[in-house]
Amino acid sequence: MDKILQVKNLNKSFGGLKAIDNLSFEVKTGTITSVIGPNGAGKTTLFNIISSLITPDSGEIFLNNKRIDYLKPYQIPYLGISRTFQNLSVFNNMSVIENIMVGQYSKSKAGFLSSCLNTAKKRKEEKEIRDRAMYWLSFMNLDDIYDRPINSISFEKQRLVEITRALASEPEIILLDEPAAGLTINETENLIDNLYKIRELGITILLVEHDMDMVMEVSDKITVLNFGKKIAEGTPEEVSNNPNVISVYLGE
Amino acid sequence: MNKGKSIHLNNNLGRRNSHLKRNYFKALMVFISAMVILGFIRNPYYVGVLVFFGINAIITTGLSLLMGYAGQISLGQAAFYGIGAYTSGVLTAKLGMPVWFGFLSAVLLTALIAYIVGIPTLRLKGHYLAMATLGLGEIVHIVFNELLSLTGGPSGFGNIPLIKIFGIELNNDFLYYIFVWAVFSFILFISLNLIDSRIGRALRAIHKSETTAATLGINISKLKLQIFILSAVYASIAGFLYAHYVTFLSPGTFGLHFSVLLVTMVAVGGMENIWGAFIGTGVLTLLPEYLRIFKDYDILIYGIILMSIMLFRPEGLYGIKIPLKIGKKKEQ
Repeated sequence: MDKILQVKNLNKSFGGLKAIDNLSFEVKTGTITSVIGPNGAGKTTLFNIISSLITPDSGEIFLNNKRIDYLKPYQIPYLGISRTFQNLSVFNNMSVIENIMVGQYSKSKAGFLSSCLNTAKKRKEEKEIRDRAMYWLSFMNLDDIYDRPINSISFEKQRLVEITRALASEPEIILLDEPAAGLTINETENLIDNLYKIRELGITILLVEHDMDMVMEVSDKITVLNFGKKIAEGTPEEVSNNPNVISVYLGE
Repeated sequence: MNKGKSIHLNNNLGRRNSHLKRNYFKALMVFISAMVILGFIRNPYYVGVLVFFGINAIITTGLSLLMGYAGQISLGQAAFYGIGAYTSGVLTAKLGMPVWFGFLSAVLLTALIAYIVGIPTLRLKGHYLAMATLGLGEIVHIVFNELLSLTGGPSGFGNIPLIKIFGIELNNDFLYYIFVWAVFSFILFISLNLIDSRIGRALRAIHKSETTAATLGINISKLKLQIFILSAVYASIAGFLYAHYVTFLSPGTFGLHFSVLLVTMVAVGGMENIWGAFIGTGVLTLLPEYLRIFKDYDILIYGIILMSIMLFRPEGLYGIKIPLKIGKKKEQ
């Protein structure tokens, strides 16, 4: 299998705190790969570096063997990376479908002038954006609430809308930052089904999650971080039997 | 996807299409309403007041895009208004250039100045644009006052030529009213189109979260700059219309007071919607006229009304539900 994402010798400090410490790992195309670790292990920092929101002190990141760590945040989705946030970040001044339509920003072209003048080309594209948004909503079984304001739907649905918005940019790899946080057991089951559906489309998933049952169930591969360092790597069984991981999670 | 879902999808598309078509319809309705209202007015003074409503609405439409949609505050819209008015006024009255040349120069110069002010400030997070435009307002005011040979300084200058369209000189309030409202309707049309586009959605996304917007591929500083220039150009067009209507310019019209009034209009009407700006402009332009019957107390009552709106309706007048008892059947 090919490597879609490669992180090489990544370092990032905040003042005296080393958030990422000489981290190297890779994500294979078409897998669900999880990054786990205790609070403050550097998982979200890692996501923020991959999506260029934070500049690393040193190290390199490659997407399909193309270096991406010097890019600006808004250039990242054009390459095929999209993400969700730990603290749910849907646009609550829009309806469900409009959120998904924003997700297609990087897949559409209409500029300032053609938008103002409502040219035939823009109208055609606008219709396509709406069609695609509706398609993704159906894919996630959210099409029955497409025109509802975001505030009027449940927390679970808002999480799914955020994931759908990330899917709408038709990424090659999607970074999910604690998608199960705050969900009930049933809702998490539903989320897991959706993750499998996304993987079936050939989209690689990089997952940060605290729900260990879920991580063990869905992951093809797990990378364990502690204080910014990689302490273990492997399949769910390998990782759960690794003495380093057990000591980090259960204490020595 | 099953069949039921695809039917659902088609229905939704049909509805959306008719909605899109309605943008020019909405703008046209505003123009037709304005013409109908004109039919009922005999007093040129009131026509003049409504001309100013139209001119102000052009500025606040731009300001609404900037404030309500992109989340940026400009305290310098009166400066852009002034640049538009003075550029066209000076070129046509003092240098004898044709009016269309004055118009083009006004728009281009304003766009250039907005670009220069916007480039450094819109890269920063926070309300730096408000500070920069506040400064710009003062600079522009000083230039108008001190450039005596061209602007006539504090006492201003006159003899600005009238606008001629298809050989018709817009030499009375009624003709000018039609012209101004036609221009406003066009600007409204453009703005509604913009809101209904990927750019409009991107602007609203920026307003909620710049970080999230960026991760979706939105080039935030570029988009903010574009919308800022657009709002400045709107103000400049309004300034052009002002100059060739009043035919006399002095710096007092374009001070900070007017910039703040424009922001107030947008806030009173409702920032989250472009029609809010229109309503707010209408209320704040017409209210002082109605309050004249209170003579010396008009300012006091004006203030009380403004305070009440902001206290009881902080999100603005747009979307307010007036409890209508007539025709409303009791349920159950």
